[in-house]
Amino acid sequence: MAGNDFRSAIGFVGAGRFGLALAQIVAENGREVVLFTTLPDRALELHETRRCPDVVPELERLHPNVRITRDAEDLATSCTLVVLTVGAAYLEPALDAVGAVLDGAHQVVHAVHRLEGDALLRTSQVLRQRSCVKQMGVIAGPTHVSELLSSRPNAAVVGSAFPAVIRGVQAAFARANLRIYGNPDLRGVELAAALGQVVALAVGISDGLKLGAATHATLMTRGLAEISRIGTELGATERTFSGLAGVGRLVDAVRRGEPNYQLGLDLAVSTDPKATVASASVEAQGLIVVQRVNAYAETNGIDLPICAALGRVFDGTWTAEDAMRALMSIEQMYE
Amino acid sequence: MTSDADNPLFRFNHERHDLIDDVVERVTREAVERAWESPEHGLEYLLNEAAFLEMSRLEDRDSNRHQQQYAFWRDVAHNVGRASEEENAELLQKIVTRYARDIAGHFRPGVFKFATRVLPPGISLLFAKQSKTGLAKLQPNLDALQDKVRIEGELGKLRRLAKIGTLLMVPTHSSHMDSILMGWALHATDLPPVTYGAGKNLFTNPMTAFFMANLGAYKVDRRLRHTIYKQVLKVWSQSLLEHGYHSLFFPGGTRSRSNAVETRLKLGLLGTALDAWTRGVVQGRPHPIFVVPVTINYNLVLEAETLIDEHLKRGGQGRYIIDVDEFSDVRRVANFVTSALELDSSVTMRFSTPMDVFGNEVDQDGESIDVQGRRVDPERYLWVNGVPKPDRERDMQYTRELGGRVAEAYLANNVLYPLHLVSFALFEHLRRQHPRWDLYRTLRFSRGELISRAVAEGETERVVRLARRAAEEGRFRLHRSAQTTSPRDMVTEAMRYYRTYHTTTIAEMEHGQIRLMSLKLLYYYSNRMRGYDLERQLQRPGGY
Repeated sequence: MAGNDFRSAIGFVGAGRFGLALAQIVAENGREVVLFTTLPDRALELHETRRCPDVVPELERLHPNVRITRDAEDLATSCTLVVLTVGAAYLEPALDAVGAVLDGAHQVVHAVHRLEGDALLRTSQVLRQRSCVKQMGVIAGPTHVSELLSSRPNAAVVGSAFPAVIRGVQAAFARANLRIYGNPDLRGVELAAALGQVVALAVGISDGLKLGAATHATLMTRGLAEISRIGTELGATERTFSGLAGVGRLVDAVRRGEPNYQLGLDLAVSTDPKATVASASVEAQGLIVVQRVNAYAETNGIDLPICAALGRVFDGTWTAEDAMRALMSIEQMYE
Repeated sequence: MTSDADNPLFRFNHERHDLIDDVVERVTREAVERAWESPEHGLEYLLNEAAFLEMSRLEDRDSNRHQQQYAFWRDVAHNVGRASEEENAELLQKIVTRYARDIAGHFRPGVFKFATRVLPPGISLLFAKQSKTGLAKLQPNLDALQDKVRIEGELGKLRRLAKIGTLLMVPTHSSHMDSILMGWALHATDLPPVTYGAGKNLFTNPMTAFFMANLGAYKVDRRLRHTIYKQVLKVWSQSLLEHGYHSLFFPGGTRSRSNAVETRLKLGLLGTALDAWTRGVVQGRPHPIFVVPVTINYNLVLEAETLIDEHLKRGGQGRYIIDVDEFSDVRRVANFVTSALELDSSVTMRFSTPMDVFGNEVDQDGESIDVQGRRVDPERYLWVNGVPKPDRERDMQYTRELGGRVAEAYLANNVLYPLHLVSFALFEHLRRQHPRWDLYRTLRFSRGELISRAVAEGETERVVRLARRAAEEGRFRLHRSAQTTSPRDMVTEAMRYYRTYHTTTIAEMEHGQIRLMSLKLLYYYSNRMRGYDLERQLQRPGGY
C-alpha cells in the first residue's frame, strides 16, 4: 500500500459546524476527505441529503470528495492527517471510538479548546493518554464558519512541534481566503485558545453593563495578561498569547459575540446569575475553564483577579456589578 | 549468569576493524553530503575549525609529540583553503580514521573473566566494614555491599530484553561512584556488561589502563572540542548500538552539580538511540533498542562539596563522558565507603520501566505498548507515505519527547532519604524567614543562623507529611527509613551526618538549638527534593 497515495485523504472526526465547514473547504481544495462521526442519524442525513441545515445552514451541498463513515478503521486506513473537531464535551467518546485505530504514522490536529481536570489537561495530553499518536497539533484562530464558506478572508494558526504537521495542514487547508500560520508552541496555542474564552466572558459582562470602551479595552488587555500568566506557568511561550490563538481569537469572539461573550452579556443583565449560568450554551466553555483554573490557582497559589471575580459571579456570591467594581478597585501595580 | 555467547562484547575484537571502517566511512560521507547541501558548512569550515581549536590547545605545549601535532594542524590550516574538495575529503578521512582508531577500545575475554571474578570482591572489599581499631578485615564481604546497595526494578524483564535487543542504560549522575556501582549492579543482577565512553586519562593511569583498554570501554579525549571529533564519537557510540552492544551513557551530561535530579538532558547523545534504531529499520534489519532509565540514589555524596561549589560558580560545563578519576584513588573511595558505612548510609539503584526509542513502555516480549496497554508498532512513527524514512526535524522532536519520558522516570524513581527531607525543611524555613533575599544572599548571610530544635522538628514534620503524600501519588519514592522514622529521629540522624561526614560541618547542636554552618551543603542536600513544586505548597500557611 506504499506510494504517494498512501493514506492521502484528510480525516475529520466530528460532523459538527466547524468540522463540516473545514471538510468542505479541504474537499474544495481537491483533496479526498473522510468524515467520521459516531452519530448514526447525522451520518445518514449527510450521506443521503449531503446537507445538514440544522447545524450548518450555510452549507448548500457537501462536496462529492467528502465521504461519510462510521467505521473508525476506514478513517485510519484512508488518512494520515486527522482533524478532531468534536465539541469539548464529546472528546472522550470520540477518542474511545478512534483512539485504538490510530497509529504512529497518524498526525492528529484538534480544535477542541478546553482544559480538563485539576491538572488542567490540554486536549493533546488527553489524546496522548488515549492513543499512541505522537505527531500532534492544534488549530485555533479567528475563523468563522459562515465566513469560511462565503469565501471571506480568514486566518488560523496551527501549533505543533512537528513541522511536518504544520506543513500538512497548510497544504490541505490553505486557499485564497484562508491563511494558515505555524507556531511550534503546541502548548501555548492550546492554552491561549482555551483560556481566551474566559476573557471573552469577562469583556461580555463589562459590555453588558455598558461600562464603555475604556473598561472594554482594559479588560481585554489585563485579561490577556492574566491568561498569559497562567499559560507561562503551565509552560507556554508568552508570545503565543499575542498571536492568532490569543489576541486574534479574542477580538474575533468579542466582535461577533460568540457564546462566551454572549454569556457575559447575559450575566450582566441577569437578576439570577446562577440560573443564567445553568442555562448557558454548552459552547460557552469559558464557564468550565474558569472553574478549573480557579481550582488550580488555589492549589498553586497563583493570583488571578479576573478569574476569581468570574468564579464569584458564577456561584452567585457576587453580581456582575460587584465583580467589575472589585476588579477596578484591586491594588494598583505595575503592568 | 549471562553466557559468553549472549554477551556481544565477546565478539568485539572480530568486529573492531569493520566497526572502525564503518564509522570512518559514515562520518566522512555525511560531512561531504552536508558540504554539498550547505557550502557554509563545507569541509573547509570543518577542517579550519578543528585546526584552529587544536592549534590553540597545543601552542603552549613543549613535548615533541605536541609539537608534531601542532605542525600537522598548522599545515592543515595552511593548505585547506587552497586544496580541492577532493583533497579536503581525503584529508578529512585521514583525520577521522586516526580518531576512530584512538576511540575504539579492545575487549579481551580473558581479562573480562578475570575482572568479573576479581572485581566484585574487590569492590566489596572497599565496602567492607573497617574495624574501629583501624585494621581492615581483608576478606571480601559481598553481603556488606548487598546490604548497602539496594537494587530495585523489573530485573527479570531486563534480562529477557537483553536477549531480544540492545539495552541502553541511562542513569542519573551524582558521583564518580556511579560507574563503579553500575558495573557492580549489572554483574550482581546477571545483566550483561555495557560499553561506555571513559575519559582518556583512565587509559593512561597505570592502575586502570589495563582494565579500561580491555573491557570494551571506548576512549574519550575531552580536550578535543571540535566538530569532527565530536562527530566521530557520536557515530562510534551509535554504531555500537546498531551492532547490538549494550551501552551506557549519562544523559544529564555531567554529575549533577546542584544535586537536583537532572531533567535537562543531552538530546544529541540520546538521539543516537533513535538514529541507530531507524537505520536498522530502513535497512530492513530492525533490531530493537530498549532505553532503561536508572536512578542511582545516594544518601551522602562523596563529592558534594566540590559539586555544589561548581554549581554556584555556574561552572561544570556540559561533559557527557564518565570521568572516574576517584576510581584511581582507592584510598579516597575507601574513606567514602568506610564513613558511609559507619553512618549506616546506603545507595538505592532503581532500574525503571524500559522504553522504546520513542518513550513508549515495552512489555516482557520487547513489544511497545501505549498508555492504555495496547501494542504499538513503533515503525509506524517513521512512516512517510507508508515507508520508514528518517526526518531530521521530526526525529529531533521524538528525541525531545524521549528525553521528557526519561526525565519523568528520573523524577518518579528518585529515592529520598531522611537527610534530604530534613535539609529541605531547614533550607526552606530559612528562605521563608528572608523572603526578599536571593539564593546567594541566603547562602552568605544565613551562616551562623540558629534554628530551635522544636522548629526544626515542626518544619520536618510538615515536609514529611507533604512528602509521604507525594510519594503515595507516585511522584517520587521514599527510602524505607523516610517512611517509618519519626521526624524527631530524622532530625537527630541528620544532625549526625551534618556534623561528621563532610570536611565542613553543615550544622551542629548548640544548647538545644541548631546552628547552621555550611548553607551550601544544606542547600545541596535539599535540592534532591526540587522539581516537584513542593516549595510552593510548603509556603502556604498550613500547606499540607
